[in-house]
Amino acid sequence: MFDLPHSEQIDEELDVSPGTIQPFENGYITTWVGRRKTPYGHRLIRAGRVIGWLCEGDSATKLLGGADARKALEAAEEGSHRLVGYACSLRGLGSLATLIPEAFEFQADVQGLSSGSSLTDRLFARNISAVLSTLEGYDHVRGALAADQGILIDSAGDLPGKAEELATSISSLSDSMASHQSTLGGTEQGYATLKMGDASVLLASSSTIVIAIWTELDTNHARLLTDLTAQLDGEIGTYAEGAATLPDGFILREGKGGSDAVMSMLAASLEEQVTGHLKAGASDKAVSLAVVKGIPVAMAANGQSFDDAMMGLTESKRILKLHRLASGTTVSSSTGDVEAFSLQGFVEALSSVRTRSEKRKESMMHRLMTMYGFEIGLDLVRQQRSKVSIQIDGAEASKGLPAASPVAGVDAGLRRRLEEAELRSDSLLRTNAGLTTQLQDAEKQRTEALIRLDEIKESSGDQSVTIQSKNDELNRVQVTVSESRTRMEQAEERADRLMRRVSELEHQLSERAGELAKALGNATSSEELRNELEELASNEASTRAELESNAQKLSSVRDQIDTEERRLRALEEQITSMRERQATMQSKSNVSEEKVRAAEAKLDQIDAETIASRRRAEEERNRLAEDEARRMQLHSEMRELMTERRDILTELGNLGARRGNAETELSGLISRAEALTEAHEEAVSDIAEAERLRARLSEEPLAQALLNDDSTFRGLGPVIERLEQARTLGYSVILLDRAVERALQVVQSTVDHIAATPRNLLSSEVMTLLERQVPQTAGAVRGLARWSVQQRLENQLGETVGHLILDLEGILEDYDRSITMLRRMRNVLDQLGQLGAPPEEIDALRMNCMRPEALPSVAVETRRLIRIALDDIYLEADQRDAGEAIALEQTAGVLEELLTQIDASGLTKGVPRGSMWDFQRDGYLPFERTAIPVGQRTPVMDDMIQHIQPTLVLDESVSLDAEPAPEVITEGGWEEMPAPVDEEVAAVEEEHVSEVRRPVEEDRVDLEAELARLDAERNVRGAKSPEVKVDPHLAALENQLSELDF
Amino acid sequence: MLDSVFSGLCEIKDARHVRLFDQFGNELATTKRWPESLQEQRAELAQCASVATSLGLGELHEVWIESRRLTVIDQIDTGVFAALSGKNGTKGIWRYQLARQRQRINATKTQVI
Repeated sequence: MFDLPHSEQIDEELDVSPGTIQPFENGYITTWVGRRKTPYGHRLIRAGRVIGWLCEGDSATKLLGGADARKALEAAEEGSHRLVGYACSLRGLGSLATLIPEAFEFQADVQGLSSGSSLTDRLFARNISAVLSTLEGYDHVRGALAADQGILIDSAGDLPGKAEELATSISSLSDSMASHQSTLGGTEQGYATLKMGDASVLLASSSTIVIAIWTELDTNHARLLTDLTAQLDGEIGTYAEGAATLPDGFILREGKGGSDAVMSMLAASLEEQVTGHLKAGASDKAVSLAVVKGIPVAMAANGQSFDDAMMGLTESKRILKLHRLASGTTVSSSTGDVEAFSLQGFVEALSSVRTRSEKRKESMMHRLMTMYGFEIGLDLVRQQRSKVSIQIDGAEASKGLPAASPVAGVDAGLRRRLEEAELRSDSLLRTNAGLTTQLQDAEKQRTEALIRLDEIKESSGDQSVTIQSKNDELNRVQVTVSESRTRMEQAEERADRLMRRVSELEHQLSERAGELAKALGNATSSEELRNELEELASNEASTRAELESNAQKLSSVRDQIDTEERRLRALEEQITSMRERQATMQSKSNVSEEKVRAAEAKLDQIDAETIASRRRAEEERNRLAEDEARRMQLHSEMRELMTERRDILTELGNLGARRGNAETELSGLISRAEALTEAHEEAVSDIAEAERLRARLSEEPLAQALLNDDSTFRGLGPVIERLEQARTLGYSVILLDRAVERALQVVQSTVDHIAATPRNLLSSEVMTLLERQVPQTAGAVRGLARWSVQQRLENQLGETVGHLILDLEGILEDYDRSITMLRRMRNVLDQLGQLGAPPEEIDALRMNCMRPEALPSVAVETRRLIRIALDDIYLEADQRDAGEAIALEQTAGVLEELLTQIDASGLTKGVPRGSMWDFQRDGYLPFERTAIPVGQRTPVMDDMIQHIQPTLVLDESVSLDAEPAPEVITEGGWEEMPAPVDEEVAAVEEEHVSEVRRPVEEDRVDLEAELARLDAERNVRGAKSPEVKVDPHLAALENQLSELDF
Repeated sequence: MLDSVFSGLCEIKDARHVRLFDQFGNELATTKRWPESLQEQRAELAQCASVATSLGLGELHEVWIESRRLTVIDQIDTGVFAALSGKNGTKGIWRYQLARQRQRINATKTQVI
């Protein structure tokens, strides 16, 4: 097992039992088993929780990840082991997670570790055809499609429709989703998952290119994308691949060269996560160090070696520039031309290239390892990771709730495959049956062929024997032929010889003839010669006969040879045809054997499939048994539900009875409702009657005018509001009510005045007559009357109402002032009470303090009381010593002040002035008094005048000695009151009220009476000094004050 | 760079003939057995450009010719054109691959900020 990059080691003792929170945030825990020199496994920690497991499997190159690794680790940790923890940053953990995604049991734990945006970006950076062909290899991917602006780029696997049409719809869908993505709070790097029926679709897009992947329903799309990008790793086209120099970007920093400066620049680039390069120098010998998010990954040095490049990079004369390349630029280890570059080598070289001091080397190495230690470790892990494979289980499936019925946790893809396999097995079974019959036929054919082969073999044996004999015969014939040929040759030779002999003899004959001619003379010799010639001639004839016979013999031999050759050829043809037949039969038998063998193999395969089918059937039977059990359970539940149903039916019966009761009640209610309906109908008929009356009324010109003209009365709003407000204050509003009543009376009289003429004119008799005789005149009269009434109403009544409203407002203001005065009076009375005024009088006056209409009387009475108190004080002042006199003087000052206040109100001296008081005196409103002559005024009702007079309400004295009157309780709790007696009331008034103001006709008379009363009072005060009652509190206060020495 | 682009274009599925040429008529790279000569192709391109200008369509970027073969002439870089042709060619994938090659060319250029 490879080691993970070492970072900050945790010295604490670690507990890795499930549910334990680790003492560090992010990192990993390595398990060392026994005395091994390599770790056995790792646990990945995120936020203190163990989220990933990785350990060795069966072999060193086969690793386990996720739940398998967890189990294996737990099993291994039962023996002797030790745990070492290392903490790292969240980003480091994210890098690890990207490198070994198989280590995580649940993909939810990985979310947020590595940047999600890179997923689709990295996917689209690759060749889309390669992506699609890789996708096709996944079990849970059904098909995939890539399109650009609706044009199909490529497709793979099974698609739900035609690829071109799907490309159009997918592109439009992606466009509309992309347009709403920002509105829905997403970013452009996101992707969409559509769950539809039994499949789900993953939609990812980059600029105009969109890729759609059809997968099984439960497929984890995030995991699919991660795995896909991991599989395609390395195919990415990188920036300035193999380039000798890197192009300039935006210069972030610039400074002098040297090792320290390089380190400082690298630290800055790491801090700012720069993707670009650090360039030393500007000439063609410039050295560039490519960095990805601050991590050096490659070097470009224009063909220099790594050591030379390092020397060049750290040369102090060169200017260092940190370039940031355009965002989205992919810089990787294949950038640049220094192939020997590695991060570890770079760190070692940078720490030692420009120094010989071990201490400095160590310190630089330490700094660089702090910066890049984790990345170096990660590089090593990356190398190791490429050498090993990690076993992965299927996609994670959520477990059902414990109480819920067990759900078959079969992945949809597997289920689909199972169904397909079952279908295939069915078809195979059918094919099997067909093949079996074919096999039997083939077997028959084979046996037939074998029989035929045997026959053929036998016949070929006969033929071969025949051939043999023919061959022998041929051989013999050939021998004969050869002998004949030799004989022929001999005969030919002899013939040649004979010919030569003949020619020789002819030559000799010619010579002999010559000799004969010479020796003609010699008869003997001619006889001899003749004999010799005859002999020669006979010889020649015999030779010729012999030659002819030989020639005949030769021709016969030749004919024989020809016939023999023909026979031989026929035999050879027979043999070849027999051989061919044998070969064809042999091949047929071979084919049959092959067929037999293939059929046997198929039969074996079918047997195996049959066994598998049987196993499946067995599983099916088990599933059926489970279903049966579930059915039984459902039956029991059903039974319970039936009992519940019975209960509910009983309840329903009860409810029915209740319903009967309710229906009875309802029928009662219905009868009541009917009665109400009748009443309602009557009321409706009444309303109709009223409507009719109103309609008739509306024919009246005055009513029409009044009904049409309501704008004049809108001015009453604020007044009415103030009147209502005055009612809420708790003070008596009799005066106001009476003023309103009076105003209405005035309005009424105005209206009566206005309506008087037309009402007389438009009396029904006159109008009927007019309408009958002169209809036009009647209409004109009616119109004129209406116009006149309307005009007068608009002008006169409006004016009157306006004045009345103003009067009411004036009265309201006086009313407000009187309330203020009453409050002050109350205060004054309270003070008087404290100063020792008679409490019964004070109480009597205080009772009247809630009645504004009694304010003048209250003021007069209060003034009288103050005056009496003052007189007493002044009288006593002479009889007291100096201290008491001073105290009394202060009291007198207070009382004088109160007196001044009452006098200032104008209520005590003469007649009080103001609209309200004028109205109280004579019952006329100011408008009437100023605008209407006395004779034309509406008479004021006496009871109204009496009602608003400023009489005081007095408390009746209750004597304890008096016998209680027998209570006569009548029906309804009402008490029968004795009938009022005029004489007794007058006596009470004479006894308690100093003065009763009676309604007067003229102001002058009133003034004279007032003056007479005042004179009388003065006389009374002068003749008899009233006995001063000393308040005990006041006396005590005075005693206390008397002891003070000023 | 253009060699790499040319080899990339040659790897495109169903692209039987590939040619790279510049605006001055220089053939930068080509496969053998092109049915049309470079001059014919340039004439086609010029004709299409004049049609585009007359219709007010703006600058001409690519020309697609669909017949027994699919042919595309695309401006792959400034002043550099790529022509592809072949039977059973797919427009989508050709377009995508041409865009990829264009991106590769653009990625190697200096970024002006």
